[in-house]
Amino acid sequence: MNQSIFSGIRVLDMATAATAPLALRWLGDYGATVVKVETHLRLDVARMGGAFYQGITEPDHSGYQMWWNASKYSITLNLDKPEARDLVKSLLVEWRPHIMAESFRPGVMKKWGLDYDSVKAVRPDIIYYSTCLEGQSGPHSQRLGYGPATNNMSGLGHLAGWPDRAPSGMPIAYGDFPSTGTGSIALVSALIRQRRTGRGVYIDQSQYEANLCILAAPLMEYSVNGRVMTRNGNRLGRAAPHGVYPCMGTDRWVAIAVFNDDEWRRFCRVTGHPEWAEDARFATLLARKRNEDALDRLVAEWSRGHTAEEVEAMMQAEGVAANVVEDNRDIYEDSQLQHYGQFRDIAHPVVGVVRSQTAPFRFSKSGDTHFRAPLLGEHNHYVLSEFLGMSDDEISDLYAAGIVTSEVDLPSAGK
Amino acid sequence: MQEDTMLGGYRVLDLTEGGCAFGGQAFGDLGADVIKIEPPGGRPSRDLGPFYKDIPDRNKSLFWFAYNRNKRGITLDIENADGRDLFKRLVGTADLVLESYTPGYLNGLGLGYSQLCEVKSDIILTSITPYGLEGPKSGHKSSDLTTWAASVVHYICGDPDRPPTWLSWPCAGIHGGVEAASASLFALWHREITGEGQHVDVPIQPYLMQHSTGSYWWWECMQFNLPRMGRYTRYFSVRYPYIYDCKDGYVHCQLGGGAAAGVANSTRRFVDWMDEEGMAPEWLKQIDWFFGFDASKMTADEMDDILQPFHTFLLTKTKSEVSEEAVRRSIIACPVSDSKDICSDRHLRARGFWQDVQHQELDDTLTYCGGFVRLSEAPIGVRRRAPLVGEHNLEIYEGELGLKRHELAVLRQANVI
Repeated sequence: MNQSIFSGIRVLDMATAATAPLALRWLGDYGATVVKVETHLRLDVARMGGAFYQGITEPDHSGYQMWWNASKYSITLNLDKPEARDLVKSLLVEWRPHIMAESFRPGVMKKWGLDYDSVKAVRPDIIYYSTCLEGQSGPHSQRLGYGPATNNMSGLGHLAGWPDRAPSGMPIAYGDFPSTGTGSIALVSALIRQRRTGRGVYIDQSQYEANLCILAAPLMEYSVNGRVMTRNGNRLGRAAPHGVYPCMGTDRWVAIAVFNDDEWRRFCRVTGHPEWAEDARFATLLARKRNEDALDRLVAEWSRGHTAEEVEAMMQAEGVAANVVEDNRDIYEDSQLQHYGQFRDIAHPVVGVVRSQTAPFRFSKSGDTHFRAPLLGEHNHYVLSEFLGMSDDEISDLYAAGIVTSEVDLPSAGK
Repeated sequence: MQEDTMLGGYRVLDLTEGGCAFGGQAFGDLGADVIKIEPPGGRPSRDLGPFYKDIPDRNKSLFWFAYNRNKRGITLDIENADGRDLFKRLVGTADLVLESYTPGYLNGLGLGYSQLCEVKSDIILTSITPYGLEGPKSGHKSSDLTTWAASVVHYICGDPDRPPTWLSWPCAGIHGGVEAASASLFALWHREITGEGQHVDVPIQPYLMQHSTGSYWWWECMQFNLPRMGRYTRYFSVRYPYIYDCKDGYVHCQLGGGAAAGVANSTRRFVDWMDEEGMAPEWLKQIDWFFGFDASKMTADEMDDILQPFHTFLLTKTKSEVSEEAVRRSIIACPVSDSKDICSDRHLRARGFWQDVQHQELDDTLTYCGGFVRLSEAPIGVRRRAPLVGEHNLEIYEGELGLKRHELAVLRQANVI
């Protein structure tokens, strides 16, 4: 393996939660130096919003933090103080990051004198990435919300669930992650252009709009044909059986998809019911679609007698698409993910060992530089001394004045 | 003067199927010259509905339109010797090849990464697959549904008393396309710096897993197998809804408080709104949502009692009313929108999100999504609609590769193009 992909690239991450931080983390996984600006005074959702190691709700125990902010350095500043904002400006001018990112409600960075126009004045070549719910402009730009809001306003929530019931909604913050992927696309494209032309750019990402780009086909179904696509359980118009079927055990399921008559005959052989293939109700795709409820009941009766793993193996042996509906535990036992080393054991000074999640893709010639997520403010001294050339005394003064934060100060956080 | 775009000057050959086409489209949106290569007659994903005015035709698939704009299109049978030669000539002009075939398919044709390197030493080949190019499951038969199942997101999606559900249409491949574009750009950056191309392995499973919001971290941290909760979410032992019934459908609200200061403030403002309309009981107004609300110490019944006035109030409001008031009052709420709501959203119109694109072949103008981000320079735009089957054969084979008309006629009759 030769040099890491983004070695020499510097990134200033002032964003919170998942969307931008995860996109920037991938850059860190492949060699970029990413400095995350945090504070003890308003803890990032990454540090207080999810699962906690040993059930201890402290900022350095958060699982989301381990995931979204691996391969980064952490500094803690109280940005309400002008001196802290001056430190950010010093980083911009002296450390010279190629990329800066933020995810505040539109207007916050302007209030702090750190909006694109202000930063551009001192760093005209900066790539400045803003991400928020509905973008920087428009009548709803000030809308507040987290991932579940993005899911539901984008139409994802409406599409999840059963036709005879209210929408189930998409779990947690599904709708944050299309913005992570598309944000990454925009950032690296901008880096390439920055290198070729010396020019920076402002990236205004509406997480709502990013999701709509994913959902472009259902949207055209309405705008062209006037038809509103709605939830359908697990069905697909051109396949049957196509669903999730119960298996032995508690809450165990297998997903199976059969697209044509040839696959259907093989499916019937696997189940030991070759006669289903001859049954007029199921002999052709059109017949199976007409009798899909009855078909699903038959398949479920059969699948209940097997484990999900057995069904997957039996179907795959005959070339029929099937996969265990993997739960949160299965993922860690998944032979494929293990083959890729998707999770990597890394020592962590507070929680012991973290099964740290690496980036999802792999390169034939470029290795990664993945390392564990930082503790809150772990690199204050390193960043201030190495990147800004400050002395120990100067750094101590910043702590004493509360410009660099060191104490969690929320009544109910960490309790 | 050439238009200023992010990726102008790069050429991408796109051999992907289904939703994976989003990857090439992202390059096209950013100004790269993207050539979609299809088998003679067109890619199977042209048969994916919905169709323009419900006419099932390979040049009328809305699915195809939606993820193949900003590309040119040629037909080419790469399983045929002449076809392979032409493909290699095109590779010689390209920076990146995107593909989503079964692992090993291109190798079998003599068009694997090492063979492409012989044609162009710094080529980047990006392979999108459900599970990855290597490993025990790389050869597994899959579909969008089974990829979804492999990615945890299936398990945690849906109502708790029924089987897990998917997103009601095949979109795992689209996520794979996003991942592929991102990873390909990593490789392109690497090539810019080092002059070296490489093979990029893009498995969808570990990428899509992340969309579960890392629900498996609950297992890693606390050995808790986070279940699906339908329209509810849970906090310790209590559950509360994320989706509420309203007058004309459903809305999302995040109510509560405690450590989540933003939610506490939002809920207080929500109660103020109810109070203005005389629908906030006195006891509700007394709750201190920041210091006096701790869901971890509540029973499910207590939580239901607290939320009841909100349910009652929301039944008197429309989606649109909740949406507008939420913005005005800084309340964490929004409509549970369907595609009709989205297409009539005044915010998107004000942002100029939608782009009208002329389809001369249909004598019609269709409305497309705008860019996945908005750029201050080198903007994303819909420069051309998705290609018809073989639309640019002449332009590319004759105009760029210098084939003679009679040669094209030979290739057409042999069903190579």
